[in-house]
Amino acid sequence: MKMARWVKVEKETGKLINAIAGFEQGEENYDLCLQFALSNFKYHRFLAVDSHKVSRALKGIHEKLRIHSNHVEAEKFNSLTDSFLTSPVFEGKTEGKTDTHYALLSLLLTLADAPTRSTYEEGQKEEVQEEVEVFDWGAYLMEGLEPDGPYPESPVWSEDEEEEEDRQPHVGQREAVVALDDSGITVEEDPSRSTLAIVDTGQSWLTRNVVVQYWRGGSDHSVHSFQYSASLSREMEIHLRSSNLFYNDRGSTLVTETQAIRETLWLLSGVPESYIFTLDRDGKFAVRDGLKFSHLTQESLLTFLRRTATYGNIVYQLQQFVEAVLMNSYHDNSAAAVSQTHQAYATTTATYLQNLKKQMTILEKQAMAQEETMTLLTLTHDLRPRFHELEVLHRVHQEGIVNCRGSHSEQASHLLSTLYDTICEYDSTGEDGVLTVSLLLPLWIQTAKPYIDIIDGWITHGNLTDPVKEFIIQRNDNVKALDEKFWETAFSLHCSPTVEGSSSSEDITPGFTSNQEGTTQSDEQTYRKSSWAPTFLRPVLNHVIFAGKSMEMFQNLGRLLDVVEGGQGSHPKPLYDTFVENLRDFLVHQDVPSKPMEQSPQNHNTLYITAHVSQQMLVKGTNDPLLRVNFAGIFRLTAGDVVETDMEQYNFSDMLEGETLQPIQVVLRHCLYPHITQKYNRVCTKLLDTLKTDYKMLHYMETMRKFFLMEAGDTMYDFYREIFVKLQLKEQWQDMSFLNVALHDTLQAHFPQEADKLFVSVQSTGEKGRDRHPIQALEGLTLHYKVPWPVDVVINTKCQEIYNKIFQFLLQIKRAKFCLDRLKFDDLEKSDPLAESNEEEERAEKTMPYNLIHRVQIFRLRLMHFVNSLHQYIMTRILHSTGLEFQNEVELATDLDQVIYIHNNYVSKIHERCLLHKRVAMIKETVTRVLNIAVGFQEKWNAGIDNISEKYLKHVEDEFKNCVKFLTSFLNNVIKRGSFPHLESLAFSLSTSLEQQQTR
Amino acid sequence: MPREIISLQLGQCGNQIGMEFWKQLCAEHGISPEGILEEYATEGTDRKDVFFYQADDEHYIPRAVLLDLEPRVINTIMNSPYSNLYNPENVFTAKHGGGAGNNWASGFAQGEKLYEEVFDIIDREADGSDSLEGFILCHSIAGGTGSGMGSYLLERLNDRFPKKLIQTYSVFPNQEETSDVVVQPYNSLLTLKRLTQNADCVVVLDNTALHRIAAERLHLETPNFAHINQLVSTVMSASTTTLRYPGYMNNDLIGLIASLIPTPRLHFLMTGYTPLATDSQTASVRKTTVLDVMRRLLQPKNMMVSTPVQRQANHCYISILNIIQGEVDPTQVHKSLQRIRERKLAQFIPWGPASIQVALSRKSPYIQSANRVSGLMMANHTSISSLFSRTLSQYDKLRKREAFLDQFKKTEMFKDNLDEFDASREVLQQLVEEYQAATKPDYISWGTQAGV
Ligand SMILES: Nc1nc2c(ncn2[C@@H]2O[C@H](COP(=O)(O)OP(=O)(O)OP(=O)(O)O)[C@@H](O)[C@H]2O)c(=O)[nH]1
Ligand SMILES: [Mg+2]
Repeated sequence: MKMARWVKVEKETGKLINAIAGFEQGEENYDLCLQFALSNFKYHRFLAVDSHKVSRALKGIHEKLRIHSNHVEAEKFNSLTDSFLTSPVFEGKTEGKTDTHYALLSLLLTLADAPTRSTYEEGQKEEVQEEVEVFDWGAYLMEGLEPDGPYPESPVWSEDEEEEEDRQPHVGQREAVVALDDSGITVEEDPSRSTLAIVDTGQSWLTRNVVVQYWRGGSDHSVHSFQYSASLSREMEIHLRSSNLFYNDRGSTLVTETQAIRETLWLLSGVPESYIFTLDRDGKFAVRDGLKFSHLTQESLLTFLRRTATYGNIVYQLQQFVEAVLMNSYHDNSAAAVSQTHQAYATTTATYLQNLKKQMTILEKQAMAQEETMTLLTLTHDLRPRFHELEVLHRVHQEGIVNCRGSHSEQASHLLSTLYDTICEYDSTGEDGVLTVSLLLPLWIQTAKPYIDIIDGWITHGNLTDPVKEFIIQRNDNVKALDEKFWETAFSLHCSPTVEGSSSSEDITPGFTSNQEGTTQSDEQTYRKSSWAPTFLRPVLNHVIFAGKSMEMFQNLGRLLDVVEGGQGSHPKPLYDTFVENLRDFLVHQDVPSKPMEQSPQNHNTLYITAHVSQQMLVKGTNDPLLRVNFAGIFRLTAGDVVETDMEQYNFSDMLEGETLQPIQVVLRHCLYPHITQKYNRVCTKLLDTLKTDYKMLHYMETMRKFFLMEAGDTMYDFYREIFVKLQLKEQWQDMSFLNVALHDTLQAHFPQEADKLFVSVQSTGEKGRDRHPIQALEGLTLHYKVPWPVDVVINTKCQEIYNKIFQFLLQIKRAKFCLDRLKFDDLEKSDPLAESNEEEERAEKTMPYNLIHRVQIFRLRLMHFVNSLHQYIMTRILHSTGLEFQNEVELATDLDQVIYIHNNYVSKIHERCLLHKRVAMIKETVTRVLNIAVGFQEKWNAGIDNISEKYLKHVEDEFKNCVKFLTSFLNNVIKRGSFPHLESLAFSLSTSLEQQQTR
Repeated sequence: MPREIISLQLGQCGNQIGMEFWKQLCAEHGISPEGILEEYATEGTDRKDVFFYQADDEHYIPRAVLLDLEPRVINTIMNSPYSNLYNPENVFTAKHGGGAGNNWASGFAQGEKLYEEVFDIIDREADGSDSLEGFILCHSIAGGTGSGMGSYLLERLNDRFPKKLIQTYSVFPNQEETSDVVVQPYNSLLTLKRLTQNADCVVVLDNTALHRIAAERLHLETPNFAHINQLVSTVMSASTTTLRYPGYMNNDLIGLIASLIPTPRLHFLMTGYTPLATDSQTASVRKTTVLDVMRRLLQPKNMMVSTPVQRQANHCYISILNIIQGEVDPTQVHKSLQRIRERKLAQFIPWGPASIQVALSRKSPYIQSANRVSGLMMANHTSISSLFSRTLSQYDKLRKREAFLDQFKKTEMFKDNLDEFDASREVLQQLVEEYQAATKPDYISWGTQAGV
């Protein structure tokens, strides 16, 4: 009953709408109006009409008319209303003035809210009455008819629900719709169901409610609208047809915007098959030809959709990549497994895509709900941030993955670098980049996890777990553990062949150079070797390498347990976790996705270096780890009172982040590097300690100085004296057993523990043919010291060679000095024993050549001065001083690499300063000449004055003078140029000797 | 195979300074007066074997030969805590015990007589060493035994050990004290001839200067021999420190002194030591730098030889050896040297190089010293000749009066004539002349005019 009446109401309402708004049934606006009106009818409470109120209103109008001097109208109005009220037409009553009468009047009054505006016409009276009558009749006639829709009950229910929910949006919050609209109401049930349901049969209902199969060429006729804007395409077509004789409509398919929107959403969710967007052979989406919108030209639609298709491509490409990685088959040329970094990257990308898909689903639901206007334009507008993200991701993907072929390590490091560099790039653009950064940062962090884990495993546990060799550093399997080249060659950086070639294995070695440019060269090397490492790692790459190698060292020493944090029992917190935690703490207001974890108190320690400090360090261009450590130390010292202010500073610097120059680097410097550096410090210091205490590294270094550099002057003196004496007596000294016994005896006396480690051999110098200076007789004498592993990593054979060269040079000086020291005046003045035995008178006759003797003696003094000056210069100014410097440096060294470097540097420095470097070969040669004169002079002297001719003396005097002159001027020049400051004292003492000579 | 050095101490003076020297060495090496290594002496890198040898019972025994013609001083030593230190076989006193009575000739003659006995000891000592570097002779040149017997020993040592180095620490008499030996000019002259001809190197210890230094620098009212000998032993131990505490260089005695001596006779060395600390001074000298030390050493007042100020004589350094003890940065040493040369703080001979050598040495770890750095200078300076000139003039004065010659004429050497005096005088005269010649640029051609 009620139902029947309601149906009638609906019908009448439809007519009403038609009458008032002029919309035809089936038009979109019609439906909307109907819906609105019906809901008002249904839910608005209409109070029963108040007859008094109506009478008063009528009276009021009457009066109003009169006031406006419309007396005729006033009277007519009065009589009309009266006659209407009294006529007995409604409710089956015989008298007038029923509620219906009043209701109708009230309606009319409401409709005519401004009765004074219009001019009165007689005919209107009819109309009003007619309208009332028609309305009345219709309602009356329809009463009692059963509604004939297929599902009479449900619409009401759904209507109810619908309305319930619909009311909320009416109150406000358009934005909330997206989130709320999740109630499971399917789109099919949605639009104006009730009306249609009533009028349509089952088949037509279905046709109306199921999407038109436009993909089969079908088109929705309801699309057609008579609005001009909605038929642009038709108009255009007409225009084209009319202006172009040959225009051919190539069977275009009409699609609605809704369809396009949905397909767009599918496209962006990575669905490869759709109608509008077709996937071509090379995995690119294209827009199907011949699509049209009723309200857009084909061309504009095409360009519009094409643009969208590019994002679809990106999504599809990323998706393909993710799938491929998951199927383990990406880059199928490298048969092996996919690197972990790629896997991690794929996982995070997948997460991103999933999010994207989710969003698309929501949007699709929204589109289906059709509660809000959603056009392609608004959609693309709303999706603009996503599109930007996709662009960024695409760029990164293209650069980081697609454009990079090569080994796993190259790929991994390239990918990480690309991500990181892109972050930095956007970061530096300030505010604009913030969103991009927050997109990429988690992506990068998660992608870096395997890498960081590898590092962690290596420097914390000593295992380089890297199954697919994606880490920048690789163990060289052919290097044995107990090898003196272990430190240099056990690990190599993976480089591309172009970089490799010359220096693949040398790359990690500490710069071994025998000249002063050692420092710069090794800097270059460092730079070069790090160019293949992931960018973020570069500042701490050396720390990682050294710490890792140190761990490896421990392992080979069988003492890994000493150094693994917390021993066997507890497991140290993974580096990655610490990093992420720190990061979270650091970027308090930034949303970094990561597993929730309680903050550990120790984190504060590492954070005491404020952004301020790090940035200053950055500005200076020196990311000096030592400096940093010192800073950290300083801050830690005063930690108690600084904490508060520090934290404030954080927030401050965080807030400023957008404006600061390189905040991401700063962030890293805060959250990652300190941990690596800390591990580095711990491991490397421990290794050095172990080497120093348990493996007596310093002791061996001292030993080298003692014997090779003759710091143990007395012991070596005892040894070489025996050789010198033999040389002087022209005895055979090259006898190996003699030499070794002599050496052994000397050592036994003072260094018994070294006696069996040091031995001596004579190596043929290969230049036997040429007549060599007597001073060079000892050149083949070589010391050998058995430095055990692992100390021989520092003191290697290469170093020993140089030590030996210095040793041989020292021997020459010592020998010259020895010869001159031992000259006895008596030996010179003694006359030829043969002459003596002959006749005594003869001897008496022959006066001694006193002047010659005197000159020879003075010459001895000069030679002696020269040799002593040189000796003193080498032994004190060079060996002693440099040795002290070296010891200081070794004390300060923080890792083994530094020690190796310092030691190499030390060795090459003394090598150079002992005049053995090629650049000072001229000096060396001249010096050797003088030393040679000394040795020859000793022979002459010991043979007695009779064997020394004036000519000889003149000759050696001149030669000596020339040598000294040359050396003095050469040295003075060198000193003026300032290139050999240490030569100054030698030059000075030599120059005085010349000065004195010239003044005589 | 150490380069052993045997010390020969003669006469009262020689034995007394020798005694102090050994006390000092024992302290520096951590050896007790009984010759046993002290508990604390664990450092072990020093070389005790240059001056000591180890007996079978691990006792350290000095390579010292104690000789005197009278027993008093040696008896004192043998009754001291150090009595067990020496090898008793190396202690020799003349049986008659009368000494030499401040008579050179007597000492010389007795030396001749005791030749066999004395050289038995010396030979045994020399044979007992692996590679003998040489001898150190401690004596005074003014008395009888040290000068006379010392002279004889010098001659014989030269014959017997021609290849060995002979260095003497010779005490010159105090000129200001009249109570000192009256006949010292005779004794000195005769000894000086041997020191010139038979020693390789003479370290001159001038009692005059030592007294002055003890009085002025150490603020002593009346310095006695004990004080002076303390100074002497400081010098003696410092001059051998590089041999006993091995370092980069200067590991043999000859290497140290060879370059100090340009020609055979110019081998008389002066010494200077700084800082000479008394307790009141320690605070101010503590901070001494290497340059400070080297500069102080060049000041005449720190020299242990008193030479009259003779401006016109142009006396100059022939060569210098500075032995710096303590923890010293060698770079600092070289800088100081350069300063000294640049500022010409030392006047050098005009005919040869300005030879300043520096030997660095550690300090004994067993002796607390107030100073971070201390230095000994051994210098060959031409002004040493003034000492000889003075001896010559004093000799001439005595000789003119024929004073105190009786004692000499009683001996074999001077029985017939006093030629030995004249010969000695000529040698000394020539020495003075050569030193003076060495101050001039033409020293290089000196031999031509002078002959020998
Ligand atoms: N510096 C120093 N000089 C001394 C010492 N004893 C003596 N003299 C000096 O030595 C000289 C005397 O020589 P002595 O050593 O006493 O004589 P001697 O060698 O024992 O000879 P005789 O006694 O004559 O047998 C004097 O010039 C003293 O000044 C001493 O302990 N230290
Ligand atoms: Mg006496």
